[in-house]
Amino acid sequence: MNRLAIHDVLLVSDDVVAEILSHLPVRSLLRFKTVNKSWHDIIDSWAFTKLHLENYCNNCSNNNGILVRVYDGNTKKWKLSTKFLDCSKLCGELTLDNDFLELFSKTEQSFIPRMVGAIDGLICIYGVRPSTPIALCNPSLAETQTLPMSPISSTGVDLRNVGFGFDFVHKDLKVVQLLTCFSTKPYRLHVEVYSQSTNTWREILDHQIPNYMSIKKAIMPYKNGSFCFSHWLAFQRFQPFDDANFFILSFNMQNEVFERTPLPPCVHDAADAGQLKLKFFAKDDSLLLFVYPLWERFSLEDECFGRWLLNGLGDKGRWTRLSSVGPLLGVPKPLALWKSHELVFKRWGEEKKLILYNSSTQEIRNTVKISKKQYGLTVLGYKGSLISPVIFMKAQL
Amino acid sequence: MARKNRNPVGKNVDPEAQKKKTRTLTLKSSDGQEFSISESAAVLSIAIENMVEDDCAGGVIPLPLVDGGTLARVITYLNKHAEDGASDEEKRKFDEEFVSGMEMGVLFDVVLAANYLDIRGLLREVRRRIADRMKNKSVEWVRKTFHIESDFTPEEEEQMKKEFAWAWEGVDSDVDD
Repeated sequence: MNRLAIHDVLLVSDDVVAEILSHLPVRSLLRFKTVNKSWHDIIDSWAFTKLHLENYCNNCSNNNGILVRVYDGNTKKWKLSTKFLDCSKLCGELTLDNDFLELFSKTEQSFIPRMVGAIDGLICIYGVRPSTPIALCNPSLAETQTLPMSPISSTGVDLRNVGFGFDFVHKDLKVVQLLTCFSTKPYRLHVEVYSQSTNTWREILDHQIPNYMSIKKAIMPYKNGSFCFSHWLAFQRFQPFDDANFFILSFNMQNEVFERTPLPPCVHDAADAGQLKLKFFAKDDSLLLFVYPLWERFSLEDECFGRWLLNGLGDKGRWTRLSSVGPLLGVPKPLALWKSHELVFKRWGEEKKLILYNSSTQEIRNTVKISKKQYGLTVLGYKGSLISPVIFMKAQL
Repeated sequence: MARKNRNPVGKNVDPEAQKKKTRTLTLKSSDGQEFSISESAAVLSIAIENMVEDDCAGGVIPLPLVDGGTLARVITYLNKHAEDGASDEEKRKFDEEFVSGMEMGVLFDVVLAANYLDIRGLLREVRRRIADRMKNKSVEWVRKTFHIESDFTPEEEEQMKKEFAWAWEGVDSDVDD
């Protein structure tokens, strides 16, 4: 059979083309949409989005890039950089090509957009003040869906934290907001869930969360089998000057039940006393915790990052201590996980930089220069998908 | 490493499976080459398994859509995957090496043969390998490799490129590898 005839067969078989393309990162797919109309239609179809989710997104959980949020001193706006989405190298300069965070900066001058995610290429953008908007976003597609404001939450609330995930049973995409109102005594978390299927918020009343509990920060959500979980670092403090009692709070997006998981004992004591910084990453269906000193570092050991892995949650939660990472001089904190053994750190010094560190070979791989006019950097490990946050999830799942 | 004996003597030996191992089939390629292969290896192809079950085999199985060179490669794959005692790790390593040296044209031939013969594992491996080669390539390289002509106007193309400019960064040069 001659070569040309074979390629004719390949040409007519859209199925074969779709199967091949479904193993590609979103970066390549956006480019190959311009190959011809037939490829454009294949990549744009919902069937392909699902195939891609299965073959590329869920096939291997390692992140394939990073998402960077930064304040641009030149334009005085918060921006998301798409430069390192689905990217094989981390080098060059941080370019701020994406303006869609402007959607938010218009609403309130002092609004600092926070990101939580990613799950299947989606992130959730929000502000800690309840009057600020919440949006679901696919950064690769530059598509954003702003949620309606909750009618309940606006009065007297001081602090908002957010999580999100899929409810695979009810074929829904949910966002949960945890609201704290410090002025009421005893203060108690107020929990609301948004369902994309109904496009409404509702309150969860019997949520089994004790009084005097508050949220320190959101942790990356993860998928565990057919369940999605959102996590936060939470604490309980009965008197204003007491030590905080830290633990992990998790919310099952399907049955809408909370679970509490204690920190490893030796981390717990130091964290409560405010001596340690904690940084969490979702890795497959476990949480990876990095611990490091808050301020001064006196020895080489202080330049290392301790690592703990949490499998399971609540009573079934098991912490395993992993080998430390480092020492890494002049590196204040880990920012994101990339691929299997690589970490993104921020390095200060003469110039600000992002560095990629391979923890198995202990090599610093590539670096990204950050301009002096770029502040407030946060980084999420990221792997792109074609899921649109705009189209109704019900149609998509 | 001790080899696992999957058929301990006198215990649970499936006579049908034994027969398949010793029985050989003949596969005939589009260019008339004949290859013999054990039935147990051949039936890893769902298409061949169906032909054997329907008894339309009659000794020689003609495969008019697969040329001799490609069929020889496919048979190497089938033999390895039917081998007694080959561990999953061994098979994974074999798969990796099996596709790593293949040129793009050969990968296309194999993916089409695997598609036609319905060999799931091989199909997946080759598709992934093709995707890996394409990942950082330009649109022009893809059109040339897949023999596709664009039906977009230059303006339409430019518009799409502008929309997702970041996707065009870091593209490899069009050298065939």
